Amino acid sequence: MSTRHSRRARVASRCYAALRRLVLPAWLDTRAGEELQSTFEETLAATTTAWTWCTELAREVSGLVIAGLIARLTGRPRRPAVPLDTGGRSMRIDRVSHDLRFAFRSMRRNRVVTWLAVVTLAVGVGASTAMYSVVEAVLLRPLPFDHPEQIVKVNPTIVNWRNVPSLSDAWQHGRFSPPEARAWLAGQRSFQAAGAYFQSSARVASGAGSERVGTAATTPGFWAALGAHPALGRLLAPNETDSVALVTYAFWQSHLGGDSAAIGRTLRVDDYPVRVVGVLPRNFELVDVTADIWMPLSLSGGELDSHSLLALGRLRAGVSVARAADELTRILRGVDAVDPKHDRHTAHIVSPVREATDAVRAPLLVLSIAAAVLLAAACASVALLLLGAGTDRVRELAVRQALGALRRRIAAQLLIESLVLSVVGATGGVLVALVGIRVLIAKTPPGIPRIDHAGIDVHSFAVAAMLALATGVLVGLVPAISLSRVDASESLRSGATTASTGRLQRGIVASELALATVLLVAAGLLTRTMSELQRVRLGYNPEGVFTVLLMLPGDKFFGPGTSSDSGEVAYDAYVHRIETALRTVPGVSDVGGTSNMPFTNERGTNLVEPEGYTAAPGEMIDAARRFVTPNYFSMLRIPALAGRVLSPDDDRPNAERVMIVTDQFARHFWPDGRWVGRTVGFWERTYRVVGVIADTHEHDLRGDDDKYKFYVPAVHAGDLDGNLLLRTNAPSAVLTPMIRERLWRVDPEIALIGAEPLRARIDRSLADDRFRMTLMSVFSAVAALFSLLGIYGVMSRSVARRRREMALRTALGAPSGRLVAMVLSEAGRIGIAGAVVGIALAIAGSRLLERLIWGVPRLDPLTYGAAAGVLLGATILAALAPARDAARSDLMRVLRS
Amino acid sequence: MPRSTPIATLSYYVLLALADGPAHGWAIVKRIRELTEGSAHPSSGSLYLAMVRLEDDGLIAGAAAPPGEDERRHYYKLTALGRRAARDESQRLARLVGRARALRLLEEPR
Repeated sequence: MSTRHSRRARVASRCYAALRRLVLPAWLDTRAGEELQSTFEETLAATTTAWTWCTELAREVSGLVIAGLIARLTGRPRRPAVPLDTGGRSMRIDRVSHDLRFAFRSMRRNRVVTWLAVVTLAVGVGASTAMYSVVEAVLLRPLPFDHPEQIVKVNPTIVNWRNVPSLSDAWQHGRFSPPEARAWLAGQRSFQAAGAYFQSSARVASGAGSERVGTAATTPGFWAALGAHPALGRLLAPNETDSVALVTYAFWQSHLGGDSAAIGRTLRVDDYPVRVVGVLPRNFELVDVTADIWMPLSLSGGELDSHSLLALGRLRAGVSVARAADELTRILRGVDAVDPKHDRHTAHIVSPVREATDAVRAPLLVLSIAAAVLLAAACASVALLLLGAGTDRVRELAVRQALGALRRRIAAQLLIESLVLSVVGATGGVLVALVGIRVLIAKTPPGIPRIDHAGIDVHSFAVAAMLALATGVLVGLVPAISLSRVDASESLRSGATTASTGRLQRGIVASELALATVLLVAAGLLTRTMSELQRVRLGYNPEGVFTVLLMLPGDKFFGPGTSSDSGEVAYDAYVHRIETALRTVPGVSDVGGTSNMPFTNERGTNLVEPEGYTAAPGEMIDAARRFVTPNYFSMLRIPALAGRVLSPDDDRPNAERVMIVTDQFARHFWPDGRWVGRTVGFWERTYRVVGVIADTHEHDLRGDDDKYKFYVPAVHAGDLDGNLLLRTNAPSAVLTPMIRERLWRVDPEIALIGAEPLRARIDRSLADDRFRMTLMSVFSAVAALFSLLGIYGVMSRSVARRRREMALRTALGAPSGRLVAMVLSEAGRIGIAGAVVGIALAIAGSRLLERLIWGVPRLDPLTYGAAAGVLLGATILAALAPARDAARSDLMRVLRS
Repeated sequence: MPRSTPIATLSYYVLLALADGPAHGWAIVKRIRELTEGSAHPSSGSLYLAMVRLEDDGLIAGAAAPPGEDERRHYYKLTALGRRAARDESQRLARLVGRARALRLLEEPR
């Protein structure tokens, strides 16, 4: 609680300081800036509730802006001043403060307009600032190391892997095997320092049971390359044994008490004692590794073909990425030459921030463009409101001019009024942005790197606020200009505005409608994508299936001192005990298991040799492998398309080795359709295909799934990696505590990593799409609301202006329907113009959406038509009230007024 | 020459607040709130703008921190001129209040 408050205070005081330097003239800031800052901080610190904190903040910020404005307008004081001087300067102070007071009074008089304008600006500025602040934190901010641009990730890529669709992107980028990493680290000259690392996870004892903690192992060069300094203790030294570790700042705080006594303490990591020697700095982050415990990595030994190591290095000055890549390729060719069977390598190097943010780049950019469109719509909306209010006031201004006010004075007055409005709106924007960033961080699905580092980005705010101010200034001047063209006595008599202001207003409304159309189309495409994704056939039925992910203390069975055979037997019995224990949970009717839980992103593929299939040159026959218990198919209600699914008999140790394959697997390798009975070689054994099932989606509903899958009984592998499936309809809240209790009764060292219905896992895979859809829908709804308010305002004003003409027509016998139609058709023309331009813009912009939408064409006529239709319909609705008003024009009343 | 125009309200508050002895910004804000029973509540920005002006006009000046107070803060005190200006303004207001009483404005229930 208190850390959140201090964080809030830190953000506020940083923003205040930036704003202070921006708005106060230099002479004032040097003289009073620091004191001002501490007084501000103390004022906020003295508040007791969140609400008073917010109001104080708003008051302080607007007070600062106004003080800055006054100070700038009245100029730098002469020092030493003549005491009690009442010369020209204080006259000017008086005038400005008079204008300010007048502005506030007139804002209070036009309360509705003021509120609408302020809220509109606040929403526009706040939403765009929040979005851009997130973009800054995720995409643009450099890593917290010296010269982060020199740090690059280094990936060896095996040529053959390039064209294997089932291999995920991470694998296409390639990893080192220990001998390769050794050769490269010893032979490279392109980097000042380079290191290999490896991410994993481990069980760490905690409280009554165990929990899973992310771990990483690194070679010493890793730390040298990053140039990191420890917050406490030391980093890992060369030739360190593997019984020491660094911990992250967060882990130090949460698990080790956050004090210096943590150094030297011993953690039990996967049952091995590990001594803590250092704490990483608080801002330590590496985009693609989330580990709390960092240990030394030994590269001795290791298989040439076991590619699991990541690497990074700090480039020497003047060495290009391409040269470093060439060098890596040369070194790896040398390693390849040792073993002729070894795969051919090419190097592939990218910078760290880029790689991890590539996946989120497109959606974030699209959303920030949407936020910019929203800001533009907000500015247009405010322009309309102020223009309207301004033209309403032409009469008042004409009176003042007639009474002798200088036009310059009136212009200054109007300018100050709209400036004050913009400043208040932009200030509100800060609050909206603060809340918005909080909401974005909270609602964003996990997996967007660094998003929790987002705070208000001062530059983004400055740009958005400047746009708001510019709108205010431009629009504030329009009545003054049009006033100069209007004959005072004329406008006194009729209250007329010039036709050009009306045209301008209609133009602005039309462009607002166009912007809203663009956002509506985007929201529509994303919504259709979502519904298409929800309609995807999974190939199994997830209802009533509950997933349990465990981390088992396997080292107890396979660690040093146990023979692998006896270990396996003991381990099987152990897993069996767990299954039996879970069967006793009330409401659970069946327990099964799989090596790869759907929607956990655990992929596992193996080379296979399907009988009678000859691989194309360069083709690696690689298929996704699942070890499952025989009841897997009945639990997920997967029927056999041909042959049968597994039966309990297949799970006996001496049973025949059988295999189930998916439709695509069967069709690809045996196009002749004779599937059942064929054999597949895998892990130097032969399996007989006994059944074919429909294709399944286990990773990604978009179809970027492993293409070819096969299922073999778990008995032949033994290890289900603690992925269990429970058939039950009981809710998670009831099940989870019972599951944990049963598990810890078997062994308190079991860590329960995840427990939730399978359906929840699938839904979560749509979280990104849902998030984008929701955000875009909100943006488009707000923009649509802005434009409808605009239509309403412009049409009411147009009716008011032509009141006389309409009343006259009514008096001369025009049917009231005619007047309604007249107004509606005017609104309709604006609406159509807006929709047409909007559709054109949307078509042009839809390219940006291409990577986000799925199952619906970019130019889906239904979506475009619906967006235009909805807006047109709403336009007509918004114009109905003014139209009815027009039809009720009464000549006598108009003449009397 | 006595000041002919009334002192701006906020400046007057600052003078009143400092009449109680030297103080720094936040303390001045607190004293103003007490003085006005919470009706005046200047933002730090307007307060410092007013104080810079008052300092230029010679009505207030920087002061050493009173013993036992935070020496890093910038303290302000009333100058002789400031004390006089505050007195003049108070008398002017007092006369106004006297007029108001004569007009039976003070007894009247709201």
